[in-house]
Amino acid sequence: MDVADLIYIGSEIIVAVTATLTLLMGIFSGRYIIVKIVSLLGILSGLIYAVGLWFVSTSYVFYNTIHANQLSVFFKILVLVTLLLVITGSYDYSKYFGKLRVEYLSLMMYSSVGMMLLPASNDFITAYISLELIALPLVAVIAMTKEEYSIEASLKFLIFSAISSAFLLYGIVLLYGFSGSTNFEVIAHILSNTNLDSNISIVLIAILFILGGVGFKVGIVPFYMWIPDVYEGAPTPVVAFLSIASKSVGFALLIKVFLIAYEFADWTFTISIIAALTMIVGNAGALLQDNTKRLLGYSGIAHAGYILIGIACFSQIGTSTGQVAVIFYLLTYAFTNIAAFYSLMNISLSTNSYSIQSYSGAFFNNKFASIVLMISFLSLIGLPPTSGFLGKLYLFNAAIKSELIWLVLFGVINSVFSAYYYLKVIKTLFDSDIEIIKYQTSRSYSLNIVLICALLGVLILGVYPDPFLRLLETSLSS
Amino acid sequence: MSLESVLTLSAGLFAIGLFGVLTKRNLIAVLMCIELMFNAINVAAVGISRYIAPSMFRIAGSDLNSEQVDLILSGHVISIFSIAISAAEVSMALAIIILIYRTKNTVDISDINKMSG
Repeated sequence: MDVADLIYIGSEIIVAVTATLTLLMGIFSGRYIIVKIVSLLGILSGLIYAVGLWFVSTSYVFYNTIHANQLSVFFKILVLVTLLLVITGSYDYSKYFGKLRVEYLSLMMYSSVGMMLLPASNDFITAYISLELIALPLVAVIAMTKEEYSIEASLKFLIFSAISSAFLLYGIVLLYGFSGSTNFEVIAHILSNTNLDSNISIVLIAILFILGGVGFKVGIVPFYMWIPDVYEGAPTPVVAFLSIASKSVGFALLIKVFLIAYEFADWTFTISIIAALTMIVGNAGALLQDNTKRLLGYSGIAHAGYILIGIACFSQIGTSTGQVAVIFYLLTYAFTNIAAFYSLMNISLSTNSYSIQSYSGAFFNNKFASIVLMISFLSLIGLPPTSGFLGKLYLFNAAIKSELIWLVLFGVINSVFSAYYYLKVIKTLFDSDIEIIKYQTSRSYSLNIVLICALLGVLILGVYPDPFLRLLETSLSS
Repeated sequence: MSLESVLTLSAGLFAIGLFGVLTKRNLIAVLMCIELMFNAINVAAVGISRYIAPSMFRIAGSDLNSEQVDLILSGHVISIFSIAISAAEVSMALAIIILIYRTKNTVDISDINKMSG
């Protein structure tokens, strides 16, 4: 190892140091606003460092355990932008954390360190450690409001994540037993160059266990059960962070695992079936929901299904087109989900409820948040000119190129069905039949700034996506 | 001792742990079963590592290069990391179980399942 290797994990170091500093300042200084500004500055400098890292050449560092390339830098930037928006917008929500609001900032930053390391990892041990670093701080943050539901959500998240980690680790150990290595590239090389006839069963079991472990993190069938409960119980900023950053880096790892798995078998059919089932479960579950956070949880499952379509295309048309579609979708999903969760939160800060009925007539009380909510839901359905439309377009385009027409039809039909429950919420916003209860809306400037940023992201990606797509293509070819 | 017997022991422990997680109603017992699953993995990792090492010595004699040492040690490294992480997981879980006990006066899983559907 070389000391110069440290420059490749500079943003992780900056964010981790800031997190520790925040924790210490919380003990010694009473002013929350100062602590918050320090943490935001730390995240911002980590972000600027990550942008600078984009121009540094690709290399393998720390004994080949980390592959620092532009793709990993892209995910670093995505995670840090999400964290910046989530933390900036949660100033008013932090009253629910009581005395623990400083620890909330610090733990979110520790979790994001794991999220930044995961897409860069080139070794199963590193990937496993990063996954645990993501999950454990979030367990604590979810329970932080100390309400009945949030404690239950935290317990469920912890137990499901422990079981899935156990499966993941067992798969890693079996694969290590077969190949003698934990390095992604060495394993891929051995799998593609060895005659697997006598050992195919152990490799299949290992890969299936690993897919189960990673599939839990991103919430695909049949590992989705935790999502609705955790989304309903957890604090809203944490759910936003969990549903965007955690899911994105989970897919980054899933892509890496599939690049290995495709070395010895064709997974197109299996993945297509899982994608179809995930879409059905997500959309069917969301139809009956009364709680908006729970509804967005099921919608997140459905979106994981759409993203899997991109992964199913890996074998036919080369991995590049599929990867661009998947990562662009994750980008659009990030902005859309921030806008959706934070506009819901903006309205709920005054009504204190997330049930769909509590949003009736919200447009007449809080126009700005309602409009953002409407646009983000239209983007979740996938209507132009929002970014959700283009994200789906690229995914379906990749699927058509690889001749998965039935899967595309399935995805389109599912999108149409999903419009029902999204439009139901939008309709409730404009409900003027019942007597409208006037309430004091909270005027929160930081929250409104975040909503404007997310809205701009949704619209710009939907109207002018070319620069982002070109950046993605160059980063994949690096 | 052959690799098969080590892997059988490991798979058996893993299955018992998984069965316990799915059937036990007491949270502490669920936690113990999760630990059992992780320990099953440690057994497999160290066993496989022990199995890889002699073949490496046979190929390279006594002067191993760094890559071969990596191969020999990976299993031990996996088990050490897994022990450390499961310790962190247990401390987290115990903290949450104490929180649940304070608010509800019970650690039975069926009393905690309020959200569903």
